[in-house]
Amino acid sequence: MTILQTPLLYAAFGAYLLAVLLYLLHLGLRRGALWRSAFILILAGFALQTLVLGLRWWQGGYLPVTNLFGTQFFFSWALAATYLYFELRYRIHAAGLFVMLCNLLLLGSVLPRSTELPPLIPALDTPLFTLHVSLSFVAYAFFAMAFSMGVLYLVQKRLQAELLPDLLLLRKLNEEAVFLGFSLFTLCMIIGSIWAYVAWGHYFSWNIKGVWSALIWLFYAGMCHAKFIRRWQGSGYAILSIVGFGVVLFTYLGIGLLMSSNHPLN
Amino acid sequence: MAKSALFDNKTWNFLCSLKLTIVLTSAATLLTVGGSVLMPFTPRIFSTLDSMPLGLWLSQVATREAGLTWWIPLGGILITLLSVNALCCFIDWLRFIKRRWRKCGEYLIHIGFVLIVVAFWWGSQAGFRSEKNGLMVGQSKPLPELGVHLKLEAFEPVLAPSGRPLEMLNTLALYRGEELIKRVQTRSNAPLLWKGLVVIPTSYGQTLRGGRYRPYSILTINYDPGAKLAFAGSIAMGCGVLLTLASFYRKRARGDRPDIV
Repeated sequence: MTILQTPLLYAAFGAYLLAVLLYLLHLGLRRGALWRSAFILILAGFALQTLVLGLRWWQGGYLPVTNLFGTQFFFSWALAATYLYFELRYRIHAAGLFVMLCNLLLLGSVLPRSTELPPLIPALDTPLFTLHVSLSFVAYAFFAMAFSMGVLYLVQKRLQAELLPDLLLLRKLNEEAVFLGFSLFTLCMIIGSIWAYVAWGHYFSWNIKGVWSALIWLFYAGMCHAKFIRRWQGSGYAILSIVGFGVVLFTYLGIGLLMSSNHPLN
Repeated sequence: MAKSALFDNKTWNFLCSLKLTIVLTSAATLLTVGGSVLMPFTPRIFSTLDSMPLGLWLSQVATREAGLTWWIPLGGILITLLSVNALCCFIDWLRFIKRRWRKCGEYLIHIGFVLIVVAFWWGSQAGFRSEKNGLMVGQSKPLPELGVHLKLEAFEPVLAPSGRPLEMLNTLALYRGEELIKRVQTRSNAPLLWKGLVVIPTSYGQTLRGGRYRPYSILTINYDPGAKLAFAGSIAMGCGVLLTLASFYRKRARGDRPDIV
């Protein structure tokens, strides 16, 4: 089963890479066939990735997100799912390119790594762990989409390009991505707190990862309120989305890889 | 609707305002970003935060290192003010619930946050934490704060081939005098829970007794009277999120846009 995973992973990566190239061509040529082909390729890549995830889950008997390979692979899957959500709902086409580029980077970085599953330690053998981690990465994926929409909003405001969606749609997508990310992240924090209580005896940890996770929640809670204030709508919200994703990246990669935390990635 | 002197004034409007929420969340975020940078570089101060209730840490540790720790009580004040802001918004929503019942998801999140903050302060002031409590089978540990004692009735460590402890199977019992209150077999993610008390097996050791090594269990014993309230807050918040998601999709389907203040 492990042997099958590597070709499937490469096939998914190839499908995403080709899709991104077709979307880039679509930006220049504006042909319907290009984005349709790109969309089909992303669907195919996502299906392959889902198959690999399912195989690994079945093989290990647990959601395989206990090491850097597992978390990056799941994050990449969540990014593709988020892209498909916005594409199917709003036909964003190349406007979601940043998310697909992130996806390519993440998937590309896991390809050379071993696909072997580490044994699950009893402390992680709980549905609370599965829910906590999966919700956190899907939330991160929505925050990445919000970042992408924030950058595009600022670009579109300056260029007024016909190639990009109009400002109102970009604002709406940004707000939706932040709202969905915040909602899922709240559920992730609740479930993580319950798990921490039964695993460590306290529901809030002052470990650096715990503090920064609370910080992400606080930041996006503020953003969910800021969208109702005229001064913060549009550009202000776009800038906040960009800053917020910086905080998310630092919490996931910066703390996970560079500092000693209770959420190690290695 | 008749005007009420308690609610229809500038102070109340300020306490309920979105702008106050944004100022407080921004200030708490910036303060925590700055303060938390100190944490990895001064572990002798901050690594003890999880081993005792915050109230005790503030009085025993933070006061000795005020220059490095001042941001934690200040952050606590900001979060408390944010919870007051959330509570006022919730009360204001209750006043007009007939008109604004569709927003119940959002306001459940507000009240859930308030309950969690209250529970956290309660636990920080009235709780206790105790780590590395070694107990051999048959031994008891009195918990005078709760008027009970904890007894280890059976213990079986499960080890990896490398010798690393994987699982600690402990049969723990709580007694009040001679009366058995609770008996459970604990393992990973299944501790002994009783009225805010949580007992978690964390490791094990061996000691020489009577010419042979005998194993003993190492337990973490924490008491947090606010834990149930925090759980209630979490449930309120979780339900609020699910209702808000449902309401969001219904509103988007109708083409509603967010209100502009």
